[in-house]
Amino acid sequence: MLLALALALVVARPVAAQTVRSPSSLPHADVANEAISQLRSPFCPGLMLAVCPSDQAAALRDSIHVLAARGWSAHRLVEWMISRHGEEWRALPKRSGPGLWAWVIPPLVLIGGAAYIVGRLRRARAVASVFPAPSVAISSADREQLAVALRQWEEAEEAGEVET
Amino acid sequence: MTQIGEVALWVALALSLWGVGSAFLGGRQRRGDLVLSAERTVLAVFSLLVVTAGAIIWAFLHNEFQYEYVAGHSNRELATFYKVAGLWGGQTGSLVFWATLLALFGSIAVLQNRKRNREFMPYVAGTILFVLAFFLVVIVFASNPFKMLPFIPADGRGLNPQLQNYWMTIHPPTLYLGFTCFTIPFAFGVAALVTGRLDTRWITTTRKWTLLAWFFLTCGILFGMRWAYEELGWGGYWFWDPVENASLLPWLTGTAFLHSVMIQEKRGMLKQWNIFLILGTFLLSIFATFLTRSGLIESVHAFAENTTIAYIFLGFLAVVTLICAALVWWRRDRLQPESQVESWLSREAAFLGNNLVFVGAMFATLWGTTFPLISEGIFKQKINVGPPFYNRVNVPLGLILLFLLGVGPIIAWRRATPRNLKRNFLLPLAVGTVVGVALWASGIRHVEALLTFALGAFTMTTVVVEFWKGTRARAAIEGEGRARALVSLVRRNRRRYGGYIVHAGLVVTFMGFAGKAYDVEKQIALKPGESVDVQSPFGTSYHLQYEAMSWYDATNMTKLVASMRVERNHEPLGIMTAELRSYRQRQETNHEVGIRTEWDQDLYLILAGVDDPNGVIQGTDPRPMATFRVLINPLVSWIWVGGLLMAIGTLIALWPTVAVEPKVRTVPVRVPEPELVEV
Repeated sequence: MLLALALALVVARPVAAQTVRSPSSLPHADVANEAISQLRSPFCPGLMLAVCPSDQAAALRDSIHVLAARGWSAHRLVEWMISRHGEEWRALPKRSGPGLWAWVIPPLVLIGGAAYIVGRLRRARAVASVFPAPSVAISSADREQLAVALRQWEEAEEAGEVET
Repeated sequence: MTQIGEVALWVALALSLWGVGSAFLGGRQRRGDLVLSAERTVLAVFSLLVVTAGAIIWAFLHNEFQYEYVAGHSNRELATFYKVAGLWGGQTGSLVFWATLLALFGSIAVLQNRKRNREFMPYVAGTILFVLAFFLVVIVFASNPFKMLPFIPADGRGLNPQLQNYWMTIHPPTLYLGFTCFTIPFAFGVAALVTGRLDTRWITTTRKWTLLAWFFLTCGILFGMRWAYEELGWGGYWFWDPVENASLLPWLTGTAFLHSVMIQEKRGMLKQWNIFLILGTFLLSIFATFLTRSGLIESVHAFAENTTIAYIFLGFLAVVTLICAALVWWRRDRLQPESQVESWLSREAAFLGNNLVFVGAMFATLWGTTFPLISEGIFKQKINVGPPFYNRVNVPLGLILLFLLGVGPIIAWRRATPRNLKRNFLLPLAVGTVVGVALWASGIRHVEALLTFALGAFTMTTVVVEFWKGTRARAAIEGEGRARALVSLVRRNRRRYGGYIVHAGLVVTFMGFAGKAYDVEKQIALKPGESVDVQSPFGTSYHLQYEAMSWYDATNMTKLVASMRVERNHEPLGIMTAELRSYRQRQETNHEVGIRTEWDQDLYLILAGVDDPNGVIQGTDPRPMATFRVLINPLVSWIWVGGLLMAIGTLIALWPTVAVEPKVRTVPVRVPEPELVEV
């Protein structure tokens, strides 16, 4: 419980700072940052616009902030940049056209995989219930001895004497 | 010396081809002489590759620029340190390095198994030599390190500036150790398929190899993150770059394999799945090498571009996949499970869930990485996939994993009873809930970060409780003090408690990732004497004053160094510097960042640009305006601490366990013979 409270205190500290609104936390800055986070940089191969250290990238980021301050939406800002520099700088595939496949396939495979595993295990359990293992009669004395042995095993396991 | 290296390379190729034939023929015809010859071939190829690698290093150290590889990756001024690292600084040398490491591990495996696993060894040696032969064919015919230039240049081009960092000298070797080490369990998996011995023996034999491979791969990935953080100069450590992704893919399947083999060991289940996982892990290791070295997909890490090699690698991947698929199909009857999952509330089910998440994350990452190629091939339109895609797809999977990390190790095998669930999970759930609610109440609204901390607290509590319970029980039974009981608890069951430490490390690392949600960044142009204030998310106020710009010539480069006087909450912390380095030989510029690390956040300073760099050097403008990016990265140090914990946990699990007889009294139980029923 102490650990939990300590952790909560450490992580809760950001909130104290967030009460002071810096210029970058203004709504239009959020819109600009959202747009910037969806764009790759034409000036740093392989890097996102948000982190590209070149001067041109800084100028482009500034332009996006200016347009956001004029009320442009994040979507409009992204399309504006793409129309000027090219489709290859889009970092987040569109959710339409060929880009849709990027989004659809991973969850489909995950859901399909989960369904396959569940189905296969159900089938295996159904087969096991049709052909059950021969029942073994254990007397109550044996059952008691087993319980004692299991308790001892559990104690030994907790003490690290046996590998689980 | 270099000629000897080249001859050694050719002899190694010829020997490995001989070894492949003699191993498989020897195994098939049960001829011990052929098998022995194949095993000795592995040792011989290793010796020859050491000579080849030594010759390349010798060529680097002696500035033998008549060789294309040396001229392209070194120059006279390059520090000796980096000349040695030149072996893996480029594509050609790194392939030699890959092959040498594989031959080293192959030799160790052969020597370890001189008297055991004899039925496996022909196929183990044959598989290792087959992979070696492939690499040697590529090296000799498509990427020869001893290829000569038609003239001898006066100096070389130098090493890529981004690779001139001390992490570069340890990150690639560690990663390659991981990739190559996974070949040994793969070879045993193939041998198990060929011989039909698909019980747990191949798994218990390769358990330490798998752990060792995982250890190297984990360290390699973390070193790479640290290298990116220090060297790429953009303030982050993971970019979901194709080459980074490529190293993560075998890590994900390798981690799934480490967990699922436990189910096969305990319950005889998932035999087919384990074979698939180890085959997939090896193939993904080859894929990672292909991606790094082919340059087919744009990457900040792709330091080579050779499409010929790309196609050779793709061909090899296709051939190995087909052979493996055929072997699995051939042995499908022997890969049937010996028991079933009895309940969804069991350790088997939790491990299955974790495997599904690991493989799902692997698939999503692989899909995103290759989607630009796929979309270009199918739709004739290259659609790039950047970090936001991977974050959206993988963060939910990561959160599920964090939950299962807490559930898997303590839920009962076969079927968890309500008593078991209550006993094991009540406290962790309470702690997780308290943390979540406390953070929510204090105003944290970033959902992913909030869930990470709550689930992290849940999982961390399960780990702490396990240690506490074990120590307490041991202290009571053995009469030891708590500290001594804790040490002997871990010593007596290194695999289990080492695993818990790895889990704790992963939780700490995940919390470090969650800190990214609170990154602060400011970009500003300053003249000397001007300052900037930055407010940290933890309420700390940093005041940075641009003091001066200096320059000096260093070996291989000219440095522009900006000095900043830093105060934290009005208390002076000293001077921080950030540099712009101009590498003379390659005529490239590189940012060298300043980092001040504290336990809860990093202050990260980038010198993004200087108005008149020539004016500084010539003395006409000694006080230029400069552009700085100042970042505050919360909880970054937690990632490195978590990584260290994971490494320590793995080493504990790897350490040989003392054989201990379990202190359980043997209880005779009369069990009647079951009646045989004719079906």
